[in-house]
Amino acid sequence: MLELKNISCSYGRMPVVRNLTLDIEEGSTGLFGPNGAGKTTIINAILGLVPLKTGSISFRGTELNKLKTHERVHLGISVVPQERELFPFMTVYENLIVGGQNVPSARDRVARTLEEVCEIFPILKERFEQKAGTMSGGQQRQLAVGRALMARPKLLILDEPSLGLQPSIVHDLFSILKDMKKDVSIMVTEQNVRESLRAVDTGHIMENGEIIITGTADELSNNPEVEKAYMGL
Amino acid sequence: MNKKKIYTIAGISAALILSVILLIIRPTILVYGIQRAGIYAAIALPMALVLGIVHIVNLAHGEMMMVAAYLSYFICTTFGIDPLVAAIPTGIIMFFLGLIIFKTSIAHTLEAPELNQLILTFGVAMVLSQSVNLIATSQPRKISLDYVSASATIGDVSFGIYDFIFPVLAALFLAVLIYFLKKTRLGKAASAVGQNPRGARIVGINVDLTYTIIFSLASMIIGVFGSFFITKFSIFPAVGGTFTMKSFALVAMAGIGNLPMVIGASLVLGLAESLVMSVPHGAGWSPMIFFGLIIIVILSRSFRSKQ
Ligand SMILES: Nc1ncnc2c1ncn2[C@@H]1O[C@H](COP(=O)(O)OP(=O)(O)OP(=O)(O)O)[C@@H](O)[C@H]1O
Ligand SMILES: [Mg+2]
Repeated sequence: MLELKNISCSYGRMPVVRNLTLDIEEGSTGLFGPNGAGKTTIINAILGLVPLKTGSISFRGTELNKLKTHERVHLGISVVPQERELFPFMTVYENLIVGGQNVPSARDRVARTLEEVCEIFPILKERFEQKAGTMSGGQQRQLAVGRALMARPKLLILDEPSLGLQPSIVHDLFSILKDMKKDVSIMVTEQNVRESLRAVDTGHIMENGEIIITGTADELSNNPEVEKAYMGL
Repeated sequence: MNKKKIYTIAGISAALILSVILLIIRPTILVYGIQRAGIYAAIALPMALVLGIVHIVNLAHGEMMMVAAYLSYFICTTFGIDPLVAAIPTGIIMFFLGLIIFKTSIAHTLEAPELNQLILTFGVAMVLSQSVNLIATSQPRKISLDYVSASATIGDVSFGIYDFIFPVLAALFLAVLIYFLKKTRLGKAASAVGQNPRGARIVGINVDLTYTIIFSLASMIIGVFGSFFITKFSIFPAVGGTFTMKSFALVAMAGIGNLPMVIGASLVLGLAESLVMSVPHGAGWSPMIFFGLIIIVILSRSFRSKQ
């Protein structure tokens, strides 16, 4: 559903993503790699927050290259950024509402989506009136996921969602993602390959801005190379 | 009870006690203080929107008010209409002038450090005042209207009542802005953009458009105020300068992003100035009040943040 064709990105003169081609199918996809591999950069390129040096990106048949970030979001791509990017002085409730109100196709259903999101993350409903900036790191991450879901995306992209979450919540989160993928396609980046392989259909492993291994979840968990490099601990 | 509440309550009760004392000994000080406060608040509120909500520093604020006043003046003299009617076309023209100023200058500094905005808008201020100087000359202009000298007498004090239009105007601006920010989608989007522009893009907000509309809207409010300004004061190319400084200080005093407190800060400034002006030879000292208040606010802020 999302196709990256020969894309390259660089910061200044330093190339970070090199001529990378990646097909994100419906269902759920994992993008794995060590620190600095270029995972966040790819997500920013999908959003149009980082310019492409070469190549093109298209989503469900629409070429994205010329579209602004908000137009890409309106097409149905929602991102939970690594840095969360919440609105710190707004309440939890206001953050969620803003998440739903600014995407035309989700606007009419804000009330219903809000109920669904609160069912998934009960903590958010308990803290409706708390300012987002005063929530704990893990709670903020749940809010960031909730806010992204408010847009009723067709593709939900999560950048290292397990970062800073306690293991039991990571476990819950991946179960939730597994349930959700019936309704919405998911792309998730992770360093924690073992936990995330439970939740994805397909995985790509990247290093230094290039994809080095691609396979189904089963293939990857049985691949000795992957075992050695990423699940050794 | 937290410290912030204690400060607020202390501040409000001090202002109330001061007002009551003034009301008893010299009611006119209170009346003129409130009228001055209305002028300050009405011109500071659009800056509170631009600086406090979307964090744009605009040093051409007062000059834009001056341009609006001239526009209104020429509309009135050309078409023979009243400035209060001219407020509508002036507001509309200023909306588009604000849009042009934003698109051609400020829009290019949004990602840059704030100092760039400061210098750039300072330049815009000079361009505006010098252009008006060229076109309209530095000769002061005034529109004489009968109704502005209306006065009332209560007991043995009499005072001008027309100037109460400024506090009313400020209250109207505040009500419109609060409604806009709390109830409309664009208003909420503006708060989101101010708090985290990147986050705003990610949730699907058209950030560039939001900045543009907020700045244009503030310009429109400045335009309406400019029309009211000319009903009472004479104008010349340098008339706007002090309003930039005063608005800036009032928004800072109120606390960035706190619109209702702009009214409170304006009341403190207005009443204090009016009090000083009422003592013999006091008029010359009234500008000192402004600087004194700024120093007090900055000192107490840094003192509080140290605690
Ligand atoms: N704004 C920037 N300016 C310069 N270099 C950058 C910038 N952002 C990222 N980089 C560099 O680009 C490379 C890829 O960064 P990226 O954030 O995409 O990695 P990542 O795979 O998301 O890593 P992590 O797992 O640590 O989040 C890194 O070497 C990083 O130092
Ligand atoms: Mg990253």
